[in-house]
Amino acid sequence: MPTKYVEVQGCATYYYYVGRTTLPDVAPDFSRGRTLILLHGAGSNGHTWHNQLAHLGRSHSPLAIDFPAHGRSSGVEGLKSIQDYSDFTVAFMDAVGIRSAVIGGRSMGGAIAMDMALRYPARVEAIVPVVTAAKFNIPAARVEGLRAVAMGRAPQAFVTDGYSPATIKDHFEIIREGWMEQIQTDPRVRYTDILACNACDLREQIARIDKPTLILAGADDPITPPADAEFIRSRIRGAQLRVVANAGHHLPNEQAAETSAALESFLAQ
Amino acid sequence: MSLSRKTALAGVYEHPARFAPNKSMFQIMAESVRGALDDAGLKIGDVDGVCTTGMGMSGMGIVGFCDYMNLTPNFVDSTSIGGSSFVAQTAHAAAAIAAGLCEVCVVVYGSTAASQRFAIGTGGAGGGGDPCDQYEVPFGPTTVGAYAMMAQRHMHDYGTTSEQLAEIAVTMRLHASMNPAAKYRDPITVDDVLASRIISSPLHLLDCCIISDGGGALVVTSAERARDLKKKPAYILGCGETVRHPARGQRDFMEMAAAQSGRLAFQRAGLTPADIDMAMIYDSFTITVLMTLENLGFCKRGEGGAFVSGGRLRYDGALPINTDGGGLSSNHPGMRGIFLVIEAVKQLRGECGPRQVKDCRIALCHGTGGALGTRHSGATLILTNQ
Repeated sequence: MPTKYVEVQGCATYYYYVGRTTLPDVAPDFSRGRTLILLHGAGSNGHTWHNQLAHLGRSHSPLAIDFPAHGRSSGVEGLKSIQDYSDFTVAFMDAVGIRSAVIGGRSMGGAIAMDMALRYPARVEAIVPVVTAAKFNIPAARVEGLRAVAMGRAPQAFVTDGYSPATIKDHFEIIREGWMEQIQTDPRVRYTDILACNACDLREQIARIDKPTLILAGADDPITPPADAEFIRSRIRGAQLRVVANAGHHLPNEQAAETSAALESFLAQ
Repeated sequence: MSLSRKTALAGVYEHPARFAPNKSMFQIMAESVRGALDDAGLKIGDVDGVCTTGMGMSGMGIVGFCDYMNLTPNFVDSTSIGGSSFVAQTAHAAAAIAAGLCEVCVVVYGSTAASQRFAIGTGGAGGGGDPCDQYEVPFGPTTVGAYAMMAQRHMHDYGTTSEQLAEIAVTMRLHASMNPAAKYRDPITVDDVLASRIISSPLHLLDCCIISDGGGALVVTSAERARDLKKKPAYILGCGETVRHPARGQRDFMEMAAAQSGRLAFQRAGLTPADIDMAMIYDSFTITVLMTLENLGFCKRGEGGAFVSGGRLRYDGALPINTDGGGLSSNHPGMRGIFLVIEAVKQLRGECGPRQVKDCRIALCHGTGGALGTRHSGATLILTNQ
């Protein structure tokens, strides 16, 4: 899978895409099929979407960004708010010459996608919020645990929280892959991302979204349970919801094929 | 022959990168050279001396870097004695210029330690598999373990406390909070340091330097030429360098190279520790700062704990140390020596904004390389703006 850097808001921004490679300062061709920008969750990076990039790249132009200080993008501090991440994503689109696109996002990225649909309607063709919520409800103990890591009081935790029992039982390699992605980003960035998520409340606003919307949820997701997805569906007119079995908060990795297929049929609509 | 005031630092540049996976080591180095030459008002064509080394390059890396820059210098030096290398290379450049071997020498460093995820402090001892390492390697030493042993011994012999060491980390963070480029800028307290997890007893995580990407460059030239350039020169008054090794237990392993390199530098400069307005002390760990101050003669051996307490090392204290935030908070790409010289020059020029030391006329830089307690190097440089 080719990757490239582009300078966005002073950050050397790393992104994964599909198709022909180009010279350093030349943006790749995003004209095949639909253009789909995939946004990662708190403390994660664009690689989390690699299964979907490989699948959708056959007929569309998907790409996935590493946000500032995440994965292979430069910088040491994440952005402060969901709105800042939206603004950054639009600046990224300007930098690579994408006028409008379908915006998909996992967890924090899903909130960014919804915020973009509200504040940048001309840049957003449709949205795919994946394992996300209009208002995150992250327990105080979890926030404090991440703060302890950021302050150097506790070592980084490698846990199976958030994964479906089916994944833990039968596909531990997916969890290991998740941990390898986790260590690509400074724990301090994960902590500030979680603060940004907690500060975001889109419950009132999302009723104003008038873009085609596909919501994906993991049936076993304890962090953003299907009820959160159902809330979003009930507020956005015409939104479709698919709850995927044997999947938790890492749906795009836990049920990669089903996620890709759902995205593919949505893009065809 | 005395080197004093014959040569000067005419340009400095600290690369702002702290995490730059999009850049190569040579790219960071090239950008740093350009920055330092711009700072001095010189061009790449003026450069006829090159000094560099790094953890990411081979022993002959300097040749490859000259190829990358298309330079064919009259003087090269890739002295590689750990983090202190660039302090020693600055002295070597000054000596070469004074001896007429070259006129404009750049000292440059770059590293992508963070984005390549080098385990600098925990991935093994400072040794590189040399024959002498065989006496320690079977016991599994690490760099942080060696420094922790020094801290443990210092606490045992002199009653030094973790709180005293923590104050050094707190002070560095305070300084970093005034340096927009620093990696960690949120203030911390002594309690935060003590509450951070133990990496190697008694050193906590916040007693240890960070790991970052980064780089920097210096331009050294004759005092005469420096006076005609863009910025106010920082003259080299004195320098000293040496190595220390415990001779397999026959020498006091608490004695640092700094005792000898510092004595030489003060003698050659005709100064004493009381003359120093600010100091840049290699802070791989908090204990490194405390023991270096003792060995340089700022206080007696065993008195370091009390000496570093009470805000003395703050930018507004009696002996400001590491006003850029040091390796503990600003940047540490593996070998930090060059940043000591860069910040000292900026302080002597009065370019440090909120963290500027008042009436800063004489600055000392001391680099430590390798691992205390086993084999390490020390290089001391004394600079003035007068």
